[in-house]
Amino acid sequence: MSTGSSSWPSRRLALPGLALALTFLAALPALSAAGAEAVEFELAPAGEEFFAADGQAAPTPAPGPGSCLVIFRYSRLSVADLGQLALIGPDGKALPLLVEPLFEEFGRIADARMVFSLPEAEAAAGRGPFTLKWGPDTKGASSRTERIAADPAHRELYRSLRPRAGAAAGNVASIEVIADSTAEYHFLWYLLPMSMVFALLLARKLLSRGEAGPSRS
Amino acid sequence: MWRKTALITVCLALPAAAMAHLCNDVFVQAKDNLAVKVDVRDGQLRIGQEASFRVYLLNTMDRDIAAISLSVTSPQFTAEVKPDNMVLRTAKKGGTKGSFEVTLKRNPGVPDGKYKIDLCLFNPKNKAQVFKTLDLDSAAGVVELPKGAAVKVDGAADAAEWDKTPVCTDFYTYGKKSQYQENLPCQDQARCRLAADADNLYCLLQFGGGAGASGDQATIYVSPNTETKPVAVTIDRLTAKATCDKGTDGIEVKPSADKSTVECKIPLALLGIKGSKSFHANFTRTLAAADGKKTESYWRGNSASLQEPIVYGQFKLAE
Repeated sequence: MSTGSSSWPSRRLALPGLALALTFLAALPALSAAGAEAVEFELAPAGEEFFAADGQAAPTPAPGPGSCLVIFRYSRLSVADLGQLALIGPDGKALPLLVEPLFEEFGRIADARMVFSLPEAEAAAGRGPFTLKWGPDTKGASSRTERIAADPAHRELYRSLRPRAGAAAGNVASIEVIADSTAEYHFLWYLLPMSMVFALLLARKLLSRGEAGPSRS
Repeated sequence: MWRKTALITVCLALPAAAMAHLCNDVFVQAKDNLAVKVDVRDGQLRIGQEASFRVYLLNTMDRDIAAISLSVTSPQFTAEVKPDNMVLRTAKKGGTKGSFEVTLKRNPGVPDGKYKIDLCLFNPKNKAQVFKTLDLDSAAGVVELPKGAAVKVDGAADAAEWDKTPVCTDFYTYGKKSQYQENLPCQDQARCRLAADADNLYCLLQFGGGAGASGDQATIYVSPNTETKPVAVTIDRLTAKATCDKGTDGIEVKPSADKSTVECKIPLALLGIKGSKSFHANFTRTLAAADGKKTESYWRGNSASLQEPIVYGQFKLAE
């Protein structure tokens, strides 16, 4: 039959294409998400690592009257432009941030020590969240500095940031649970793409047998 | 008589005060040194009406935990935890991992959907005393490695090869605070990235600082699960050599021109993870100063737990 034979090349392309599309759709949940571009912190006491003596004379920057300096380090950045790095305070406003790059990777700042100023009255431990954000859609008030060093003679004027604890009081972590009435049959989902491919191949074989039958007779 | 009573009261009160102080310190120390792993496949628990999982603990502090309990709370599920509490001896004195078994039952009328359940480790004698453990937040987390078929071991950290790979950093050493150990973040950090293909594990090691060092090595520990003793491969960035108890056949090491970066390739079969869908890994750095003084820093765990994969990070190989 001429109609059947002339449409067969397009059918040959359509079936595998459909199978590929189904397989791709089935694989979509397995694709991993991109890295984070925002991290939440809370205020904490400044650790000893910020007061390590390095032989240099003056602490930079120096705390102003009535204010504390909050000094912290974050090693999982990916910042191509300091203008795209921002620290947002609990009131939602961007805080002026001084940044000492410690490690650059793939043309981006990956690890940095940072410092900002906070009135002493607002510097209680646990206060937050302070959100560090970076990316093309971020605009901040960050600038580069060669060196950030704390003054060990005035430890009381320094704070740091630590990753924010769980939402509940104390230290509570959460794991995700999926309530699924079909949980006992969920694994069958992974058989669906292969089943579809098998069904399509079977259908193709049956159709080709059907076309071959009349021509033989 | 009054003097005797006062003396007895003071003698009874002193140990209680000392114990209270110790109890508070152990919760601070446990923040980084109580390893917690939630045994949930792929970091996600799927439940029809009832399901169980285990929470494994390993005490790698320098003292025992006299009693620890686990509470699991959720409005959508009723949880049963066994045992009620346990003693966790420190691994430094031969302690081994303990585990809680958690059984979750869906409450009547709870529709299908995603929910959070909260886990809290606390002192059963004083519920206000909660153990602080950052590991609990990522205890069920599994990091997927992208396929590294395009990695060329040439000592160059190319963005095209490594940008999408997970980075392991924030190494720490140990110091003493009062009479107990304290974790101290390293000033000079190491950064380790992993990728894999069907036959090999690829590693990018970037060494911060270390100028003038007489020795600078990173060791990669790999185990297929939390039960099997790990295989350790040590990479020396100054000599560009690898050492391993299982031999070095198939291992390639290539440093950058300034020796601050090393790329290496290690056969999955050598690591005992060929054919595995996931594995556990840890990293350490041993930096020897010009005077020969060595400092060891850790990505996970400490010297007492280096052979315990329960403290390692878990990675999933791309299918």
